[in-house]
This record gives sequence, structure tokens and C-alpha cells, in this order.
Amino acid sequence: MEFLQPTFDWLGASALGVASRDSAWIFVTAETAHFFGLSLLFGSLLVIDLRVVGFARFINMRDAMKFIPIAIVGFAINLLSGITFIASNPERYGPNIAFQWKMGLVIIAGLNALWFYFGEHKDLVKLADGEDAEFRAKVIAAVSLMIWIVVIILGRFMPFVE
Amino acid sequence: MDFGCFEPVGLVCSIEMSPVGQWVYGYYGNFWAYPAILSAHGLGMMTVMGVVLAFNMRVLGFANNISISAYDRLFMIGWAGFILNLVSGLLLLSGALSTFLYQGAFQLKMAMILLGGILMKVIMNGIRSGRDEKMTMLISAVCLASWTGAIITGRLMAYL
Repeated sequence: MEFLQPTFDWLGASALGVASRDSAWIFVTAETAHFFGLSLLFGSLLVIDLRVVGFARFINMRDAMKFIPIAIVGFAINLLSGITFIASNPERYGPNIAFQWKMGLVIIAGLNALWFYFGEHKDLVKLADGEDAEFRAKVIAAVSLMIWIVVIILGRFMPFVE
Repeated sequence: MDFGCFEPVGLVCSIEMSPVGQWVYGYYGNFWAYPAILSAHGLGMMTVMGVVLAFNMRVLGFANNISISAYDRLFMIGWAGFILNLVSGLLLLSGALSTFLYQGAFQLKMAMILLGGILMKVIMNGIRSGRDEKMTMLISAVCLASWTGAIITGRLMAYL
């Protein structure tokens, strides 16, 4: 991820980077926020994806979609807290293999989410409670859950593969 | 070999020094065990907290076309996450028992999980028996705060 290193270095030199190294609380608060944000994101995806996959198919599909903005809020919390981690130690993350895979998977999850929203959303909201979704939509939902599970695991592995 | 367990109570040290406790922290050269168990604990946490968040948001009035009974399947997933975290948590605890047992953050975390878990049941019972909605929403807010506190104190365990 060498192409991102100048950006990481800039973050490290920024006020956020300086403050996060000076304060004993900014990093641990960002970590806690990162856990909470991922819970918001993952919880929302459990509602949406398990409905689409069919495991929880009596969840109202239209209402399940209301969790999309919650997932985005969770993602935004994690983007900001994640940027804080990089700012606190800009040399640490770029070379980390677990970080590289995690970022790659987050991008794939993002593309998968875009396909879900622009390709499947319109048809899905017409589903009655208990009605099965199209196979294609089920695959997208299952892929979404699997990617985020691996993202969680990779994130936890980052400190151990340095 | 002394791994630094200075706990005066023999039982605590013998658990920490047991093969399980030692294995968890990779003393047999199995360095993958600790990050693997931590990952399981992270995944279980997101699952439990995710279901707790989604359910309580519904109780607090969000997305209320979802029938409460439709959450049954999500609760199954939530329980699976909880069991995963009970097992991985006990493993993580076993290898560092003398550190965590007397740590305020750990004790508070356990209390908050207990309270949060009981309140989930209280909320569900309240909905089924048609208790006053305002009361249920208040309990739901306390439940959310308790689970959030469990995440905060859990993270602090690594620092205190």
C-alpha cells in the first residue's frame, strides 16, 4: 500500500495525529468507537442480510431497509476512528498484511453493497413478509455477511502480524 | 518456570498455570491461539451487540413494521454469538485469571453483561404481557447503555 503512504504521513503530521499521540485517551476512545460502529454496521447487516437470505424471512423487508442508514452511520464512525488509528501511527498500518486484506475486502463489500442497493433494492422491497427473495439477491446478502465476518477477524489479527 | 502469577489464592494461580491457560497465551509456541480466540471474541461481540442494537432500536420505535416475533431468528443468532463469547471469554480469562479477576473494568463488564442480558428478557416479557410502552422504552434505553458500557469496559481491560 505504498501509494497511500504519503496520505498516511500527512495524517500523522496533522493536528489529529499529534493530538492522538499526546493524549492517552484518544486512541482507546477511537478503539471503543470502532467496536461500537462495527456493531451498528454488523447488526444492521444481520437484519437486512438474514432477511434476504431467508433465515429471518418474516422480518418486514421494507423496514429492514431502514437499517441501511444505520449501517452507513456505523461505517462512518469506523472510517473516522480508523483514520484516527492511522494518524496516531502512520508507519504501522500500510505494511500490515492483515490491514491490506481488510481494506481490500472493505472495498469489495462496498461494491457488493452498491450492487445490492442499485440492483436489488427495488425488487426486494416488494416482498411480502415470509416471501423468498431471488437467488441472486440471496447470494449478494450471503457474500456481504461473509466478507464482514472476515473483516472483523482480519481487524483483530492486525496487531499480531506486524 | 514462573510466569508471574503472584495471586495468594492457590486456585486462581493453578487455573492460570493449567495447560489450558498456558495454551491460550501461546506458551507452547502456538502463537496463533491467542489472536484466533480474540477474533472469535470480537466476532461474537459484534453479533451480540448487533442484535441487541437492532432489537432495542425497534423497541424504541425505529422500523416498527417489523413484528417483534420476527426477531426470534435474530435472537438465535444473538445467542450463538453469546455462547461463542462465553467460551472464548472463559478461555481468555483462564490464562490471565489473576490479572482480570480483581480488575474493576472486568468486574464492571460482567455486571453490565448480566444486567443487559436480564433487561433483554424483561423487555421481551413486557412486550408479550402488554406492559406500559413508556416503561418498556425506558428499560430498553438502560439495556442499550448497559451493553455499550460492557464494550467500553471490555476495551479498558486491555489498558488498566
